[in-house]
Amino acid sequence: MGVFHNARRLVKLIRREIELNRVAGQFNERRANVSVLAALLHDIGHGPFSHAFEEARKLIAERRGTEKKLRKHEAFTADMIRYKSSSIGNILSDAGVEPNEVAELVEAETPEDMYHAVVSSSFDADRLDYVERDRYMTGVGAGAIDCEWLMDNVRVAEIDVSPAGDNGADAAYRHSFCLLYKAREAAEDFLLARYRLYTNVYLHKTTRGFEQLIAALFCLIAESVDRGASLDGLDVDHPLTSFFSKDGETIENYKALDDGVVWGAIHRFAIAGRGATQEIACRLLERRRPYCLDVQLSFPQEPELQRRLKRRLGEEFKGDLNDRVFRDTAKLSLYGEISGDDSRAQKRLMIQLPDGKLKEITDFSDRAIAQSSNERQFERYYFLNESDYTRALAVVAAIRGH
Amino acid sequence: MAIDVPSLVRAAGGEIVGKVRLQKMVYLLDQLGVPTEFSFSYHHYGPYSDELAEVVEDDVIFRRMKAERRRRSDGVPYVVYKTDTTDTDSESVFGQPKISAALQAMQRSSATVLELAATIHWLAFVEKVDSWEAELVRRKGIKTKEGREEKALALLKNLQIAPA
Repeated sequence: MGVFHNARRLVKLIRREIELNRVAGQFNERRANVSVLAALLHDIGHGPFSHAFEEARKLIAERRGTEKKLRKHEAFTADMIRYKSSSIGNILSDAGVEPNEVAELVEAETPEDMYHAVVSSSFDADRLDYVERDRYMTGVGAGAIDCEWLMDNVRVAEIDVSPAGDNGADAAYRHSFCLLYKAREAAEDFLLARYRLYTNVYLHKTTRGFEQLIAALFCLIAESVDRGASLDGLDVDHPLTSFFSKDGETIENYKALDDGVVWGAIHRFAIAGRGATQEIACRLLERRRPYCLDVQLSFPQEPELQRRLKRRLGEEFKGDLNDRVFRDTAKLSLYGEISGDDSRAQKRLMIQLPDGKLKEITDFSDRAIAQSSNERQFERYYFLNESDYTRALAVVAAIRGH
Repeated sequence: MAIDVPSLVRAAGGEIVGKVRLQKMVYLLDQLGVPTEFSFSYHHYGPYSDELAEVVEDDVIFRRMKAERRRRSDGVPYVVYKTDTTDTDSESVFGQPKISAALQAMQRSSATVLELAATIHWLAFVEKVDSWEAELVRRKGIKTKEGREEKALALLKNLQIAPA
């Protein structure tokens, strides 16, 4: 609902820019409605424990050799919007909006127009929502933003969305949001606030540790389904069993999964499960986090030693990975978590100078924020057993030369 | 054994500009039969390999090649991978005439064209979608315009890995 609210504000802002003749063309009411509804619906395709579920599906697909066709949550969102038996499509049609157009906007990879920027850009409705909401709900002190001041200073400009490095060859321009120079400091605060949410909350070692446990549980369920064996504590027609069965990734099966269903299974595993399944379920219910060894924190500012540690841990626990030992990696830049070659072009925050030219926010000599090109690595090993953790600490000590 | 990325950069003239260009070049080389041993999955800019990204980071940290940071005229940052070109290994796979010619053709293309070429190949041969043309436009939108899709297809034909 917060994203929906912000989307409505951004659409009004687009109307304002057009009425003030700062952007050429007519305001497109139909397209505006599509973007507002796409913002409202953009996350309905998340599975239970969203990140952990997607991560587990990736591991399961790699083991099954089906990773090339792995569908991400955006694809499920689009399917749910298009799905004939769903009430969503009917509601959208009644509102005069074509469901397929909403689904296409949610799925669009490459910036299309300023209405797409409401859903995906450096200043999209989702970001504006979660930066404030997650900070409030988690109680993180750092990272206040001046949303009103930012909104006042948002403009629409043509932004090059091609990969950087070609000196203008094959530049591809699309309308998106930028911020006026006078709001540069507020824009820096906005990016920094999001960065701090990543370091303090989303990528916190305990958060990620519990996500690893939940992902491991999903993998164990899929493994037992692949073996044709029933998992103690889980009915054969349980939604999780159905979803992880061959050709089970249907919309119907996906819709049957939510956090409540998974928590129910976790309780059953804790009572009637066996081995790793029961151990992980009990850990989750009793909030017993796994042991964590953080590669970067073991050798701060020493990338060579971090790499050596990573390699040695990889060798030491090769046979135990995804069994008793879990490896978690993430890359973070000022523009958020990076998955793939680079941050998405439309997520770069551009500042509009008084002469109308654009400049990327980290390219100012007096910037207060770090260069966005500096990626920060997060690599952690998680252990269910203290003995494995002790072995890992011995590897750290050996690299330190103790 | 996976390919040696600094040797690839050397064979490509001592410089590969941008992560997107490097990733798509290695993906296309893989399709040409170069045993890269990297596995690829589909990401925002097309086929991408986490393993390759990790090897590249290792090569930079252990100073087997340089990663120079530059900026576009609008300030957008990017990285340039560089090696010296003094000891080009003509015995390596990159010294083979077919591969060497492919590297030159890829270096003459823009990163966007490489992104499109790798994506066309992925859609046609890996995802095996019904119509790669329609799916390419759906995913890449504006990037397919102004002759770029045609250039990408011409590159694949030149490399002899174009879909029928």
